[in-house]
Amino acid sequence: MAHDAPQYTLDVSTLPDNAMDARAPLWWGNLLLVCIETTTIVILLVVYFYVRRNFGQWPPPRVDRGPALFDQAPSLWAATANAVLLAVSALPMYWADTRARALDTRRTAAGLALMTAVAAASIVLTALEMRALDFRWDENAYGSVVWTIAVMFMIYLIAGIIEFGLMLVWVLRHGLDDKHALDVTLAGGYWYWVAATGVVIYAVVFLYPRMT
Amino acid sequence: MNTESDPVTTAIEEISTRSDAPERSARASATSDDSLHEQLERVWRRRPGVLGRLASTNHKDVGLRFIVTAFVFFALAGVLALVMRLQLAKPGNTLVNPDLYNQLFTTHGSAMMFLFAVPVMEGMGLYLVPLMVGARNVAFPRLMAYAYWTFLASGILLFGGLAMNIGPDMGWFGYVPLSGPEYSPGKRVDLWSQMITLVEIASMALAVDIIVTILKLRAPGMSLGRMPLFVWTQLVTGFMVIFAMPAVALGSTLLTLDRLTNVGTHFFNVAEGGDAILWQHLFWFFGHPDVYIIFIPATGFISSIVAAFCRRPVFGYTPLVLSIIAIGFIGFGVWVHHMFVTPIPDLGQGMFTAASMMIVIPSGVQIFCWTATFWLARRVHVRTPLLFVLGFFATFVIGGLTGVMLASVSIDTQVHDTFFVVAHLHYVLIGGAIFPLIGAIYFWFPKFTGRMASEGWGRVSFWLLFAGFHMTFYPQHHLGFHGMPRRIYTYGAETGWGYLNLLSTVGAFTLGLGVLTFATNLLVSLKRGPRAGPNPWGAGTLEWAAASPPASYNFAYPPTCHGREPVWENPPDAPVITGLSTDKRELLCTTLMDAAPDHRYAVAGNSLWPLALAIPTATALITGGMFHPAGAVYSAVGVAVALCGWFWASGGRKGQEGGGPLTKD
Repeated sequence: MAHDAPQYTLDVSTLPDNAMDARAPLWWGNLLLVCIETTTIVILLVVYFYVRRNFGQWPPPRVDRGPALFDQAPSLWAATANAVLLAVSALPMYWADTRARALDTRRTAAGLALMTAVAAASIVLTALEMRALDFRWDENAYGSVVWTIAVMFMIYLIAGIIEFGLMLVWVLRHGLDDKHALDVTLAGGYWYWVAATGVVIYAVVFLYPRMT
Repeated sequence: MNTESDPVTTAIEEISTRSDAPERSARASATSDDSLHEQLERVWRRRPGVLGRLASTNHKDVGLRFIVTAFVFFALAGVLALVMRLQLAKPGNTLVNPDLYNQLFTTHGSAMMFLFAVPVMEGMGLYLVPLMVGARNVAFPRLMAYAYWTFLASGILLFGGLAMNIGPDMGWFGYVPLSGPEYSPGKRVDLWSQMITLVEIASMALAVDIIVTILKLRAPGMSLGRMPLFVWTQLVTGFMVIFAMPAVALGSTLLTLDRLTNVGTHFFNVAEGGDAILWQHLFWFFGHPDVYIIFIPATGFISSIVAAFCRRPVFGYTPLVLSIIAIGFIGFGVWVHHMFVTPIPDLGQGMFTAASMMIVIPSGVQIFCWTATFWLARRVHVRTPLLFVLGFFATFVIGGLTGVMLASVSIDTQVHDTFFVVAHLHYVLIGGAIFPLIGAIYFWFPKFTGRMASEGWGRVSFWLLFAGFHMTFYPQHHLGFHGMPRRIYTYGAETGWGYLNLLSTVGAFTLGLGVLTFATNLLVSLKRGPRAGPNPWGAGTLEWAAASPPASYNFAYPPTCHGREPVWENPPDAPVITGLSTDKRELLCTTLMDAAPDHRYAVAGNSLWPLALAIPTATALITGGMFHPAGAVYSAVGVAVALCGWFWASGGRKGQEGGGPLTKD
């Protein structure tokens, strides 16, 4: 099949071969995945308040074993520490992002290592939060919903630590280029979302029961 | 057209004024064109052999796979419907027993909604959107391939379950407490809910892929206001998927947790503070938008077909786009009309009635715009695809009217769970989505295969489908008014429902004959049909600027866009794109609103990692969701390994051909 050469052309070879932020397709893909997860977690929180209507007291009183407990709001220590850690973690993440944009391999690696450690600490604190819940998931709908929220959040944290760890290894082995700088930015976007979600979950699961 | 403000012209000026820019040349490139095609083919082609097929990440391969697989599920679910119609053909029939009948209607409904309607629309989008926006592939080719494998797994799971007599038997919306552990012991519901989760993963992945393709990969000059209406429908549908599907994916997960003996949560267990109505909310918050997720792409088919056969752009581009968006929003505010017989507060009922009636307005605007297009056309060419669109008008308007009836709480309460609802939903879904879809298959068949389908047999298939459809479902309105409930495996002769049921059964077999004619026509034309040129219908959107079937890279010189119907409107001196890499799969990214050229973007080549990720995804859900949660934990290790391989294989995501060690020649 013969092809005629076109008469007028728009040569794009001089355009850059990558772009940051909202110019990049991956940034939009990341944003849309975050939208999916936000919808999921918001609906899960709606489930929390929906089943709450079926209970007079929230959390329900623990009367099936002695001594009977009527103030069941879960202990705040681990959860508060986790919420503070998550809120503060936005700063080192932002720093790592700026270092990555500057293609500063050494400091980016340091930032990723720090974020890996933050994610690990948050995983430990989330596990402690789970221990602080007085009901198991199979005891009543309250236990079911708070455990499901906690496990979902744990999965987000594990995804985060895998992402940070994988990128850390990559940066240490191959250095940093424009394309992987974008990956650090995207991991940052995901992490801000995880941190914000963690704070909202803290307010709903740990603070809300004390307010009612 | 005002070329002064044309973004393409602006972009050309912009690129030309860069210091290192080559001149806007009157000659394409130094290399000869045939060698350009060879180079592109080498980079973009699928590898030979079975492994090569499994590793394909070309949007046309995967799109066609979605379409063909979905039609296979459609045929299987259709056969189940014929068996049900045979059983109901006369009172007191004993062809199938009640248990099998329950499995038949549940599998039929689940397959049609989850495995056919949504995936086939997304498959059409996968195939057509990159071509219509002038791109060489979708934005995330491996994500698309992954979606296909999870979709295939969910279909095999559902029909495999039915074959092994563990098909779900509680109705396609899986209401608790019937679907809970107490009333549905065994694996039937477990199988259903894992099928749901798997197929929703596929739908959401594709939605992300299609949206980003539309936002970032449009041809220079294709500003949002010049996007083909079909692309608009895919964009709105994608966003609806993103906000609707999580509800049912979460719902099916919670149901799984409630049912697993080793977990035993109480989300839907009223005795422990759970809530049965909660399930209905979760399901219908997905379920009603889902109807529009199926219907909106169909309106895109209609706009494409009407424009092509009226030889003019569809009348009222802006109102049509606004209607599509309005339907997208209002579609999220009507789900409770499925729950009018549950204890919903009066105010809520009023709100949802109003919203359900309000959605008629944008739907009506669409109908009027298309009608006006016919009115303004100098000549209307009535070919098979257009016949199906005309069939849509007749059928969908009737289905829409019964929808307005059902939006009223008092009528809804009266006919709830009767055959009236069955008639209504088949009128809107078959009339509103399947007729346009079959028209669309006839319309784009030359593009898919390079050959024309038979016009005569196309008309025969239309009349069989149209007559069969109305003969099947029109009598069901009356059966509903006479009180015949849905989901009963038989009825007594004294009810007097026998004659209308027999008529409906005869209609169903006519409909089946129509589907058979349609399929045979395509299969025969695939081998014997006359060759189609690039643009057999003389249509105006960019897919018709590519060869039929398109080359692996779609366009040797990706086009620029100078109007809403670029093939009709582009001036002879419209520039084409050069300068994309011929060593790797590179696409041109443009800006979000104006589609001005922005940067080059390399995408992954052939890869087996999507399959390697889909396998542990499926085993996680099937072992973990149906048997023991530990299965999910072990499989999660496989998921993590495959994900690491996915990113590592192609050097992060540099998009070189090969996409990793698994596919090296």
